[in-house]
Amino acid sequence: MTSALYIESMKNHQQPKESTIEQKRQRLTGRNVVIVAVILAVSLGIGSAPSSNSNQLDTRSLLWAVVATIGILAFMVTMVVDYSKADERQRHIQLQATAVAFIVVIMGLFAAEMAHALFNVNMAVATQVLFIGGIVIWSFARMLLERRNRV
Amino acid sequence: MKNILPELRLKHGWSQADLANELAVSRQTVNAIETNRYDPSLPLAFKIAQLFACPIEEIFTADVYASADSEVIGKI
Repeated sequence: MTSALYIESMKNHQQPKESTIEQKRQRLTGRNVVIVAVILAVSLGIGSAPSSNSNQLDTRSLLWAVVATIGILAFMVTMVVDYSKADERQRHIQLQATAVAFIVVIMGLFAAEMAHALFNVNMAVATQVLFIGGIVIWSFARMLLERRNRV
Repeated sequence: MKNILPELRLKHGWSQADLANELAVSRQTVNAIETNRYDPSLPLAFKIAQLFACPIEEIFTADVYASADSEVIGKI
């Protein structure tokens, strides 16, 4: 009797199931994120800061540039596919996160340019930091906005 | 905007995920609409109205009308 009541109460307290369309979207995005992560890991393995001492383009730098470009393109494709599969509220959230990240990156670029002019800061490093920072801020903003509605 | 989506959904015996499947949206979106944290677009509102065979204005009410109604009910 007790176990039957327990099972009944467990049935009532099941985790809310996601809709089929959302499950498909999450699966697709998850698969794409793994692919992007592997490509970017390979690009980091080759080296994240190719030598800029010589004017000659060496094979390693070229390989790094090609793999990093493929990784970023794959990341862009992942974002576009995720956006196209999202419903209207999720698209709204993604656009809000994009607006936040855009403002931060634009202000960061301005600050980096000023720092470069005044203190001769390395712009190559600054743009890399801004690029990664922009992605992190976009992801964080999106996560925060999503959490506001998560039940 | 207020709505009677939870009542309509429960009347049909559907879970939020079932309704989300019918509307081709995520369950989180259904939840956000039901708890008045997200106002659906006009196409989605029409889809909801079609699904429950109800006029849109029966399902969704502007806050100003909802508060006016409650004031009238309060006076009665």
